[in-house]
Amino acid sequence: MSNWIEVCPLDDIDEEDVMPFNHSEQTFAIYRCPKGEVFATSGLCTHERIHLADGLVMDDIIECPKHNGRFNYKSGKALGAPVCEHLKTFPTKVENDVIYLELQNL
Amino acid sequence: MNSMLIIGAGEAGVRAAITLRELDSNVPITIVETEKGDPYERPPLSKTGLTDALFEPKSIVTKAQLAEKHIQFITGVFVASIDAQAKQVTLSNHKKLMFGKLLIATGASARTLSFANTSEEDLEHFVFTLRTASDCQRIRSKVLAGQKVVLIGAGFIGLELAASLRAQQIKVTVLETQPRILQRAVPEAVARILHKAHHQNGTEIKLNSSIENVTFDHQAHIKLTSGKQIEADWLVVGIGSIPNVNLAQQAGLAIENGIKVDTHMQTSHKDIYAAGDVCSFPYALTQQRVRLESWRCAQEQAAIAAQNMLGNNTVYDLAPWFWSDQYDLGLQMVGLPEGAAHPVTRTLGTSSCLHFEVNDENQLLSACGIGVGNQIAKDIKLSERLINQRKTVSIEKLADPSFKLKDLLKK
Repeated sequence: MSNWIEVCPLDDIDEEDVMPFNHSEQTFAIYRCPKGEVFATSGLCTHERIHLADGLVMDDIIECPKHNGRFNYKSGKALGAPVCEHLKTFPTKVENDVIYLELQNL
Repeated sequence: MNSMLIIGAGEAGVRAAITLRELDSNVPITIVETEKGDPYERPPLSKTGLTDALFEPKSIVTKAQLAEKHIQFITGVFVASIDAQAKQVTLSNHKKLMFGKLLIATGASARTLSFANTSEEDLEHFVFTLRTASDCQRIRSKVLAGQKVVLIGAGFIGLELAASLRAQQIKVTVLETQPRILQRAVPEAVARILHKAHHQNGTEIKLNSSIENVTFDHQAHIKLTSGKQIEADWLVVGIGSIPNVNLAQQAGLAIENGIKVDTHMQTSHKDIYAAGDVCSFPYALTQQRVRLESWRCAQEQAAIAAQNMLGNNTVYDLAPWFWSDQYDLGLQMVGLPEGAAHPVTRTLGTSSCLHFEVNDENQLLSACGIGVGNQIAKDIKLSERLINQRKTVSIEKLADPSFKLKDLLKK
């Protein structure tokens, strides 16, 4: 069973930027890549649990605002020290200019 | 014989070992470290190390992970001497280790004051410095709400400690000889915001204050040259650090405010490298020789040293980056202001600003910002890229909060 959650209007996130999104005690980071497509990952860096949404998006990479851990936000892949644990990624879709995030029901 | 020997398992030593292994799956790698236990991260020691009741030092890598990578990790002994000619070190247990290439990553020690006519016992009881996990543990065991503590030096250690101890309901006084906090470290606009936060959180900062003497009975009595006297239950000295250069000096390596290395992190001996807090290096942008105490520089320099120890020809040419957390404020800076001609401040609110230094060619040299949480992180990261890419910038745009720094990068 899957479950689509409404996040925000597409225009709320600039291209090549990121925004935080909280839902049922979980925090997510929602990205728009330079081409405009939307992606989502878990919201906290796997190094020191810092909110990634304060970080910098350049191309496909999110850089943690604190210790420069870098992840590919499309795949969740950690790109080297100080981060080694990957980010969880979540499916997204855009319908009528609104972003949705898919969460798996437990 | 091409074995790699590393002295010190701090950020630099560990990062070098891991980089060496990533680049060469066969080369023998050994780290020698005086402290027992896993290598750990130092930055939290002055922050959550003092505020989190359940704090445990966070390991950079565990002994088991090092073993998996076939990195020999010798702890609880120190290197007694280096014979650069014979390419051999002697350990405190008299064992000898040969090396093909050596990395000295011995870090720095906390500078302290000399307390005249003070017993070892009083020093042990009243006077602290903060550098290692055991220093942190000593301070933790001392902390009791309601105490009065004096912190000597309004540098990063003193100020981070002040914020952490205030969170423990300790009455904190910071003594600083200079006319403002972080005099040499950050621009005035940033220091002013930080000073205000300390004031609002009840930390007393006494500027232009020099200590005449300190005596101890059941308390520490600190007499200032102004004649004023302050009592404290204990005190922490945070007046900078001294690079641990003894081994290098005895081995005949060039020393200049730290072990002197070139942009390849190579010392005056071709088979010996140094990285991190212990070394001074020529900053690529200005050629100015500097020694920095920065978590990330230590890692970056170590990675460069490791590449060159394996015969590559890589230079360290990145802008150094640094951060501090105090109360709810985050401070970050990148680059070095040497050669600055045009200071530019971008005001972002009552407790946030970015300060830039630009040279005569309109290149960005440094940026320092402060704000709640990680508010200024993005702009510091963008500044870092502007500095590293030697981009020219517009002073008017830097000063204008509505202008996106990203657009300077893309032009």
